[in-house]
Amino acid sequence: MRSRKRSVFIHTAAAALLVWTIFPIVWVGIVSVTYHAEFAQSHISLLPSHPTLSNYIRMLGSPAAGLDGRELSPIGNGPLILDGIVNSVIVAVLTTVIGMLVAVPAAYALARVAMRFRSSSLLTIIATRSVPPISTAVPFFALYNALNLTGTRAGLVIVHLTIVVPLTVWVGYSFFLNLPPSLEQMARVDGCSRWSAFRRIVLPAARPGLMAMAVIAFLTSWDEFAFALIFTTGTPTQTFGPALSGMFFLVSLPNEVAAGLVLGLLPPMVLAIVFSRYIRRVNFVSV
Amino acid sequence: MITGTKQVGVRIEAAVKSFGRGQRAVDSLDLDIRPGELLTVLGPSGSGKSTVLSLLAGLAEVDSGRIWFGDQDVTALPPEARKIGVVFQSAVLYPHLSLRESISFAPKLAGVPRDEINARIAEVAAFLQISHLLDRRPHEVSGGERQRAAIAKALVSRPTLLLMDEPFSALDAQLRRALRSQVVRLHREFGATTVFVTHDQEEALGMGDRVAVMRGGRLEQVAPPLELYRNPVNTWVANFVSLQPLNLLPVEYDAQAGEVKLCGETVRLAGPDRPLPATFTLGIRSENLRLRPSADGPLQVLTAEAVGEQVKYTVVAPDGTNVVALGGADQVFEPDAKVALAVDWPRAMVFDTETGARIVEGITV
Repeated sequence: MRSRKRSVFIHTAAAALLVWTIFPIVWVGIVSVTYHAEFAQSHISLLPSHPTLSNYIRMLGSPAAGLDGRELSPIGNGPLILDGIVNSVIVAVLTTVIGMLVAVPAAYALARVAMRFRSSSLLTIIATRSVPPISTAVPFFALYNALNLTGTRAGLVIVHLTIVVPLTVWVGYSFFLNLPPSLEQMARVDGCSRWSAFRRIVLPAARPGLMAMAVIAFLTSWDEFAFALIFTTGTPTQTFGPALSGMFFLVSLPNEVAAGLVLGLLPPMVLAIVFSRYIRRVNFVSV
Repeated sequence: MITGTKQVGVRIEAAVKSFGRGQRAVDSLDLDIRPGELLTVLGPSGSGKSTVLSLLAGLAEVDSGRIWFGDQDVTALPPEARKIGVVFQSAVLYPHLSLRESISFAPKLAGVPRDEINARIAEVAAFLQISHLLDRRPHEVSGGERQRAAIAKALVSRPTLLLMDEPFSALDAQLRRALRSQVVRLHREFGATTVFVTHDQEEALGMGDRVAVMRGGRLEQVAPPLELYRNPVNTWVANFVSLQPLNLLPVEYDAQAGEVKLCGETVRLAGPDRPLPATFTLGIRSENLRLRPSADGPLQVLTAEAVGEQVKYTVVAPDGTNVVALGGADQVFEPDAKVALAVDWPRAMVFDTETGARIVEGITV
C-alpha cells in the first residue's frame, strides 16, 4: 500500500514537472501559428481559430497575408533569424568537431595513460567550470579587438571551445574510465599497436559516449548567449540567440517572436530527439 | 592435432615485476613450460599468477629477467608481436562487432586469406558449439557462450601460446565443469602450449598436465597433479592443493622405541628409513583418515556434516586438537561418540614443524 502511494506521488510529481517544463514551449508553438489580431483579442485561447504560418514566412524574410487578407511585410531587414540559425549551426558544428578532436584524446589519456599530475589535471579542468564564462569576457574582448576576431565565427568558436572542451573532457573521461581496459589489451594481443587499438576498437566501442559528448558540445555552443551577444551582435556572423533577442526590440508582437523562437528550437530539438538514447547515458552528476 | 598449430616451449628466467611502491608481484621467478603442455598456474589472490600471464602476453614488462618463446627472446616484444592468444577473466569480445567479426579480427589483421579465416572459424565454432551464434553481438549471448566465443577468438589465429586468465571464474559451477572438460579436449585437439591461471584447486589439478603453485609472487612447486597432491613440498602447498581439509597435527617421536604419540595414541613406526626429529608435523588429509568405533577411544566426535555420500567428522583429541576425518555413509558416528583414528600411513606427510618443509615421503607402521 505504501509503495502504491509512493508510486502515485512520484507519477503525479513527474507529470506536474513535465507540464511545468513543456507547457511554455507548447504555448509558444501555439502563439507562433496565431495571427496577432486574434492573439490580441484573447491571450488565453489554447487553439487558434485561424492557424497560420504567416509569422514564420515573414520571419524568414518574405511577405505574407494577415488575418484580414492584407499583405504584411517581412520582419526585419532581411532574414535575420534564418541567418542567425545558419551562423549558429556553423559555429556549433565547428565547435563540436574541433572540441571532439581535442577532448576525446584528452579524456582517453586522462582515463588510461599512467601519468604524473593526473588528479591535479582533472581538478584543474573541472575548476574551469566553476568560473562563470562571462568573467573572461573582458580579456577576450581586448584580445579579439587586437586580433580582429570580433564579429568572426572563428572568434566565437574559440570562445565556445573554452567552455565546451572541459565539459566534454569530463563526460568522455567517465565513459573511457568505464570501458574495460581488457578491450585495449585484447586489441594489442590481436595485433594492434596502441594507436590502432584506440582507433579500431576503443573509439567504436565508446561510440555511445562519443555521441553524447558531441551532442553536449553542440547544444552547449548552440545555447551560449553572452559571448555571442558581445562578439557577434550587429555583424553578419550574428548567431541565433542575439538575432532573436534583437527581435524583441525590432518587433513588439509576441506571435512573430514566438515564430522565431520555434525556428531556433528546431535544430537542437531534432538533435536531442535523434540522439536521446545517447544523452540518457550521460552521468550529469559527474559533469 | 589440428594442422597449423606450432608448439613452442616457454622459459621465464629470474623474472621480477613490481607494482606501486616496490611491491613485488612476481619475485625471481624461474619457470619452464614444455612445448604443447597445458600448465595450470594455481595460487590465491595476490600470488602473482595473473601478473605472470601479463608478462607472458607482453601486457606488462619485467623489471628484470628474460622471457623466451622457444629460442626467441620475447622480453622486449610488444603483445602484437608475440603471436599469442589470450582469454581474459571477463570474456573480452568487441561490443560493437558480431562474434564472427570479433573472432576473425586478429587473423584478418595478420593478413590471413578470407577463405582460410572462414574455414578456421567454422572448425573452432563447431568444436565449441557456437556456430549458430556467430552473427550475434556479445550482449545477445549468455555468459558461457561469450566465454566460448572468447576461447574461439583466442584459438582462431593459431597462437603459439594460449594464455587463459581465470576464464571461468564468473560462471556457475555446472557451466564451469562443462567448459573445463571442453578446454582440455580443445587443448588435445589444437595442441597449443597453454597456460591456464586459476585459484580453483579442482580446476588446476583436474586440467593441468602440470600445476605451478604460486604464493606471494614466488613459485612454490611445479609438478604433475597427482605428484603435487601426494608430495607437496611444504605445509602451505599441501594445504592449498587439498580438495578436502588437511590435518596438520603436532607429533612427538621417540626414536629409541620407534614410536609416535598421535592424538593420545601411541603408534609404532616401521619406516621411514631416514631419522625423524623428536617433534614434527604430521600432515594427513581427511580422506586418508578414518574413524573406528572404540568404547574407550581417546577421541570424541564433535560434529558430523553430510558431504554428498560421505560424512565429514570433526573430532577432538584429549589434548584439545581438532581433527577432521571423512567417513562413509555405511558407518555413521553420532556427536559425542567415542572413536579412534585409522590412519592411511603411506599417505601421511611429515613436515618440519619450524619451516613447514616436507621431510620424508610416507611412513609405514
